[in-house]
Amino acid sequence: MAECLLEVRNVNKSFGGVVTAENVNMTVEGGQIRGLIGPNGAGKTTLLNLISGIYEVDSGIILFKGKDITRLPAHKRARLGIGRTFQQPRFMNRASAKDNLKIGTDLLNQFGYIESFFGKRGHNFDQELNELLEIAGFILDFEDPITSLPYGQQKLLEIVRILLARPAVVLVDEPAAGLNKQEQERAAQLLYKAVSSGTGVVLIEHTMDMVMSVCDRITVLNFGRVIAEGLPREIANNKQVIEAYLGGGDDDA
Amino acid sequence: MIKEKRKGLSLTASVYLLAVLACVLTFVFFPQKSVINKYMMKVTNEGLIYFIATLGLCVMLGMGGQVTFSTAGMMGIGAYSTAIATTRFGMATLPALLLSVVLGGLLSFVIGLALFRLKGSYFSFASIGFTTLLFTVFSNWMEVTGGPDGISRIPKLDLYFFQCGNYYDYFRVYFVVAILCFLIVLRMRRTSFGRSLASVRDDEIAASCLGINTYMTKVFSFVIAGVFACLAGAMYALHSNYISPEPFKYDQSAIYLIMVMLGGVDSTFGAFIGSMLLTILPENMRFLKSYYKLVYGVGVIILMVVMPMGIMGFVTMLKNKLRAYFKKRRADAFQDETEVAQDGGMLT
Repeated sequence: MAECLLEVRNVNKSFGGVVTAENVNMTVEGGQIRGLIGPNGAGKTTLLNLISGIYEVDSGIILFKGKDITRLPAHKRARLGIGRTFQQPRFMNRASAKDNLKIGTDLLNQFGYIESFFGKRGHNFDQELNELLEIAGFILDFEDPITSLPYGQQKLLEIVRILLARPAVVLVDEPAAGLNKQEQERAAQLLYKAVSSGTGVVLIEHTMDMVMSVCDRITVLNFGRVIAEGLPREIANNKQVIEAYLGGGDDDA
Repeated sequence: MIKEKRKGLSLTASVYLLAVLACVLTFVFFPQKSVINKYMMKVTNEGLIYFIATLGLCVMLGMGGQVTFSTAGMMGIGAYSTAIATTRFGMATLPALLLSVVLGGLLSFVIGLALFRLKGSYFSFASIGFTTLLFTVFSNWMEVTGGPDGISRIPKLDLYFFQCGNYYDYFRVYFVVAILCFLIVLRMRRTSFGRSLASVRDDEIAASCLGINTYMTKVFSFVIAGVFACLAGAMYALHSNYISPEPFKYDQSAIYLIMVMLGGVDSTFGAFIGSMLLTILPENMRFLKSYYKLVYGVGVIILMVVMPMGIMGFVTMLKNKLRAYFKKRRADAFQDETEVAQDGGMLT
């Protein structure tokens, strides 16, 4: 097995009386895609927010490469190598596609502002970008305002942007939502590309065929609790999971 | 695939070239009594000073999306520190100017750290408080600032190799300084700092997930705005050789904001257009007398409705529309060609 990059241990989080994470445990290994599924409101996105540092955990710890990052602010976690995308693509709406992609390489370069002002050159990302865009499968005009791109391209571009930063772990929140079959396939290819270079991926997704075909292991959440964990085919036959999705019978009453 | 980049002189390079050319030409030829009278020269110089101050706002508001009312206050810091250093301590003008800029940078760093504990409009309100506080100090600390009487007999700017004797000389120096500041801001847009600011403006959560320290980025933008404002204030003091608290009041900050909005928040050149228009136009509208404010107010409202992104924003919008139009036409033409080719194939 590859090394364990990210470990979530006994994490709890509640908003007022609503428990969105209760003793959640999860591990992510390098070169592996970890699926994270569950019905709406199960706490999947909250868990990603906890990992990326947007929310702070109430209790429990988050380890990244063996280091405790539970109390680090979001930007420091990102610099350590935890990248993420969002359910709705979040770009700089008033900037060009180029500037939006460069934010990703800025994260990789991690220059100070003054170094950047005097034109220090960082990694040349043209080739990498070309490869990624080829997988994403569209021609990008660099100078186009980002908002002029179709929704599907924006979603793919968000994955491209974070992959340019070569993160150790990528958290991908519903990459296939709103995409057509072909674009879903492209999104999956982008994730494979990341995995092939040893990146660990956490994938939240509702499109079951994508989850089942892409993921190495799957964690299932319901009401903030992990109700199942295992290989895709184990999950597919798990009674509790099926109940969570389709509604349980009264047999346990 | 990425579309191939255009060949030839890039836009930035040509802007730099033009700027240098403008500097040289202005320095040698332009400011002559035959071209422009003394009073209008003074007004133009003030326009340049306001331009430098609004450049700071351009960074904060246009790039960072933070509305600040601290510009006038920081200009006051620059003006008063220069005035005090030269008149009380007998410093030469250039070191005094540099000193006040450094002072302004340090002060705005400390204040920025405190103010950016607040977000969005709360920050804006706090900055109003900050400016009001400074104004109170300027107008009441009699021993140091001279209170409402202000400080007079500030010496003229001396650059060691070039003494500014009259407004025409000032114009030469200030124009070069303004161009320099303009280029600095233009360059800033293309650095990681510019991109960080832009992403803080559009989405703070996404920014922090991309490794951007949103808090410090905002503080830095405040420092830059403070430095520009202090520089402008110091230049103002040396230019008018008398200062009073009045021009550093909070409502003057609102005018700087309008300058930026009028020119276009997203454009560095827009700050130039805005500040020049709002300084020179009132002089040509004197005939309106007391109706001036009325016309001005209505004008601002119309502007915000018709061109919410200012003059340069309007230009960019037109440009984008044209771009999209031509792109579509090219694509259509391409499609027609292929269709014709297919039809031809069918016929034979």
